[in-house]
Formats: sequence, C-alpha cells, structure tokens
Amino acid sequence: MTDFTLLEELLSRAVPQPAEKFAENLRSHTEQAYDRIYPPAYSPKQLPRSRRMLAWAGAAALILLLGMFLTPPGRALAQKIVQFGLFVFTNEPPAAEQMLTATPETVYTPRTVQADLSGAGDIAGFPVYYPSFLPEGYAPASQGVDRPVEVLFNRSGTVTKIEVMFEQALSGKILSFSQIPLDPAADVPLLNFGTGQTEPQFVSVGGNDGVWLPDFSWGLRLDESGNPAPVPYNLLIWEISTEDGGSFQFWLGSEEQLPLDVMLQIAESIRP
Amino acid sequence: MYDPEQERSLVFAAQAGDREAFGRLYDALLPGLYGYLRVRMPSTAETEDLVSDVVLILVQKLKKFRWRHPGSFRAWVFQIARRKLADYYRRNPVLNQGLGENETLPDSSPTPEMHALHREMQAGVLERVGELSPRKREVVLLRYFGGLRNNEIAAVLGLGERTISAHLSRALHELQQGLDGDAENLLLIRESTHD
Repeated sequence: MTDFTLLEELLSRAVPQPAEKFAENLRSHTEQAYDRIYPPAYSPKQLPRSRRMLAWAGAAALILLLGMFLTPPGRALAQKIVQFGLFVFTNEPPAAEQMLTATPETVYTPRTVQADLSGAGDIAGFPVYYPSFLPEGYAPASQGVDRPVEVLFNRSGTVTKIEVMFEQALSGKILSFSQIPLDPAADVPLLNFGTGQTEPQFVSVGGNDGVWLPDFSWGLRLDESGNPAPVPYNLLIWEISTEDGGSFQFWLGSEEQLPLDVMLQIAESIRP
Repeated sequence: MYDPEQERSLVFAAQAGDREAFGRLYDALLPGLYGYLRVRMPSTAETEDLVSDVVLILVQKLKKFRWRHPGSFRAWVFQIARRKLADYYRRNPVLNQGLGENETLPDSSPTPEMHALHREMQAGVLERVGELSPRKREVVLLRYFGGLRNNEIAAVLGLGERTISAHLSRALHELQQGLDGDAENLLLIRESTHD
C-alpha cells in the first residue's frame, strides 16, 4: 500500500486561500442578498408556532384532503425511500387505499368557493395559475363562469389550495390541476407520502424539480357494488419559485393516465 | 470535521430563512470554492469575481435546492461553480484553462526563505497536477483544492464513486513520482514552522 501522506500534505499546502478582506466583503454582500430573499421579519425564529403551523396549512390541508396520514417520525425515517420537498415517499399504501379503512373524522372537508380565474386571484391574494394547453376533448368540469376554479380554505380561513377540474368529453375521465401556496420560511416537519408499488421518478418540469407517479392510486370512486375503490391516476407534482419570492406546488392528475410527455406539455403551459 | 447531518440541518435552516445557518454554510464552503476556482483562473481578481458570482447564485437558488443525500449540497454548489467556470472560458477562449499562478498562499512561513521555498513547492505541485489527464486533474482539484469527498465528486462529475476512487488512486501514484525534491522542501518547511 503506497503511503500518500507527504503528497497529500503537499497538496493541502498548495491550496490558495481567499484574502481575508475579500471573504469579509463577500460575506457582507451575500448576507444582504440573503436578507432580500429571506426578509429578517420572516425568520422562523421570530414566527410564533401558530403562524408557522398556518404557513404550511396549504400542504397540510391537501394531505388531509387526500386522506394522507402522518406516521410517527421514527417509523417515517425507517421507511424512507426518497424525498421531494417536504414529502418523504414511502412504500406504504397510497392514501386513497388507506382511506378505505380510515375513520371518517381523520378527513377534513375544506370550505370551498367557486370563482372565475381573476376572482379567484382576488380571493386568494396571490396569482392563480391555469393551463393554457389541454389535450383534445378536455373542458372545465364546472359550468357557469369563464375558466372556473375552486378556492379551498382551511379551518382558520387561510387559502390552502386552488383547484381546477377538467373532464374528457367522451370518457368523462378527470384531469385535476391544483396549486398550493408554500411558505419556504416556515419550519415544518417532513410528511409521509405512501406510494405503494409506484416508484417515484424525478423529472424536470420547465427546469423546475418535479416528481412523476405513474399509475398511482389517487382517487376513490364507487364501484358497481357501491363500495369505494381506489382509482389509478398518473400524477405529476412540481414546485416553482416566482421572481417576487412566492413559492407554489402544483399537482396535475390524469385519470385517463395521459403519458408523461403530454402531462409535461400541460404543466409547462401554466401561466398566472 | 464534515458532518452530513449537521450540513443537512444547516441547509434546511438556511432555506427557511435562518441567516446564521446560512453564514455557517458560507464559512464552510468558501475556502474550497475559492481554492478550486483559483487554480483554474488566471488571476486573483478574476477568481474573486467568479467566486462572488457563484455565491450569489447560490443565495438566489437556495430555495430550489432539494437535499437528496449526504454530499448533494456541496456537489450542487460545485456544479454551479463548474458551469460558471465553463462560461468564463467560453467568453475568454484565448486564455488557457491551465493552472494559474498563485500569489495568495496559505503561508505560515516564518522567514522570506521559507516563503520562497513554499512558493516553489506549490508551483511544483501545481505543475505536476497540471500534467495529469483532464479527468484525473479534475478529480484531484475537486478532492484536494475543493475539499470534496469521493461521493460528492462523483455527483459533480456524473460518475460512479468507484470510478472516482480509481482515478484518484492513479492520479496520486502519478503525482508521487518525483516527489523527492518537494518532500525535502516540505520537511524544511515543517521544521521551520515547528521551531
């Protein structure tokens, strides 16, 4: 075995070091830039716990709505497969399948207001995104207003999600698009996300990080016997950060199981 | 000592707006980032500009970074650095991508003679590193100048960790050849700093 001790010391002594003044100046400029993006007022240390909990209510409400259950942290870590944002994907059964045996009180039904696109923006207080491309045969599932969307609130009255449902005219199958406001300044725990047999795949959605979950049990529908049964969807989840510091997570689910390239085309067509 | 769990906590805290955590990440990253870029750039001034650009991009994109595994953060930072370096040489194609002169040594030499010896030794090491094949040179620079570990280098270069180990081992064997003169200088420097 060759001894590289001397050589490694030579290499380490050859490493140029930054001048102290440069390091100090750069640190100062960097901290100023950091403060512009993360204003000190929103430091998690200064937020009360109730505010922190509220800040991430969007994601939490979605989890509740879908019937996802938080498992004990130790168990979550033991079963960790892969992480995306706040989610830790595990091989536990998908939420829709867990709902079949869930007690009813674990699912919170959020208050919902239907509005047109611009009205939804006024209610939500942030830009509402909408796909400008839809595959042939798809139209909004709701009628009455132009580009109808639903605004969902949690128990505290905070807007947690914007949701749009499209329906395929011939098959009646659903294409669901959701926008969830995120607050990156908040300090929240990771959430377990059971994907069962579905292997999460990391994808790029217009340069943003995303996850593709093909053939994933996402919805529930009554079967011929009148019993709820999981419905497989192709699901695409991705996140964006806007220039004004906003951050959103999007969910695009296709009951028709549209392929990834079509789902990406829809996802990349969203505009505020 | 690098602690991946601590780095993970610092990254998450910095993403959540904890300025102190960000400062600690900055302190941990700067020496390696500077060391790696300095030997690839023609002057200190241009290195400082490039390091500043990389750090500011890091601040701007920090929110979008997703922790995948231990080491993924530093791999991400050095990927940004390598892209900026490539941009620099695309804009300045007449410049060589060789290893530059180094006027900012980590210098604990007590006398001008020792300082000169140190400079000579550093020049010799850099010359030999510069003679390695591009892949081996990059692995050595990321390892010893950037301070990355093998799994991080693998993530930066998009190669397997075993491949990195093999490149590094071969590079060290090549660099070991003709070490004698430098080793003598090193011993002199060691003695002088211990006096």
